[in-house]
Amino acid sequence: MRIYKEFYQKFISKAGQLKKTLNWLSFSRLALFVLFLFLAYRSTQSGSGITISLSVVFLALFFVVVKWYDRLEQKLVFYKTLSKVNEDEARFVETNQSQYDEGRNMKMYNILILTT
Amino acid sequence: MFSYLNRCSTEFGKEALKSSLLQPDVAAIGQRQKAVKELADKVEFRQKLFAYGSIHEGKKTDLEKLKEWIDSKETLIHKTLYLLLMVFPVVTIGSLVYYLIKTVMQLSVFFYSLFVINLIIAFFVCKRITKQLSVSSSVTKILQSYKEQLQLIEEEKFQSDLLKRYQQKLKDGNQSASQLLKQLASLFDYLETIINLLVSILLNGLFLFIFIFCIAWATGRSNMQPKLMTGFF
Repeated sequence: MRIYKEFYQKFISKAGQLKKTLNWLSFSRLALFVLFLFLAYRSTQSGSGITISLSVVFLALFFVVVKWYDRLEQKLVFYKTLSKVNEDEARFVETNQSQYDEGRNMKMYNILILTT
Repeated sequence: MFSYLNRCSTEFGKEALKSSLLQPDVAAIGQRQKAVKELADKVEFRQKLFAYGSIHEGKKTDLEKLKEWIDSKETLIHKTLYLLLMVFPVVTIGSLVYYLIKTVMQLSVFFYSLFVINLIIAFFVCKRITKQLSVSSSVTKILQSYKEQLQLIEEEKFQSDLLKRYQQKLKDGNQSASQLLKQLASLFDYLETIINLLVSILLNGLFLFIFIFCIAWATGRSNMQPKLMTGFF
């Protein structure tokens, strides 16, 4: 019981930390995209090589951040699932109420008929 | 009893648990007890294994479709035809590069014509692989979670003979089971890229990406057939 509560706290705090990082990444993702749009617009106006290159760099950075965000988001889902698992286990020990499949759909009815 | 024992995250796992309860292998009971005793202490390992499986609970039909796909011998494209058709993307890219260097107007017309030809060829192949596309919808995520589960098992240190034997089975061959699943998942990931219309037009117009994908698809499947069939389906 104690171990499940400890694990629950551990994974909840890890999920909380990740959420903060994800918020920052989400902001950076938006900022990079806005910067890309701005520079792309400027490059069509001026035709400057530096602005074109910078807009490409910001677009590439935007894709890197998108990928990074997706990976961390998956990790967040994983930690949330782990905390839910521990919450369920603790409740199971406490109240004997199972959150897991009891296998009712797996009953072998031919055996049931013979025994009843 | 089932609800006390069951921490399976896949339908296959539940079926395996059910059959081991209904038709237990009496000779292996001692080995199983040792394995269970060892796993009882590995709480975090068991929970992570369960969590990876629970994130994307695959429908049985998706996995059956996947199994059918792995079983099937159908090849989407012949290798010789593939090599012949690869002339088109080479010429397309070549003409684009040459145009960027020399900026000759006629070359841009030639490049655009080739781009359209590539798209027409890709369109006919796309029609052939539509059947295969139906497999992909949720399979990528399920395969990724299976890969994480297998990687977890491969990296864990076990003492009991039974667990060691299972672990060895996953590591046999040139590539481990998790590496194979990672490849399989990325194949399905490419498939989803093809579905994206804008990306698809660009990739097929320039590289005839669909053919490259078909070859990777067929090679990937034939590499995986022996291990996937005996291993975990």
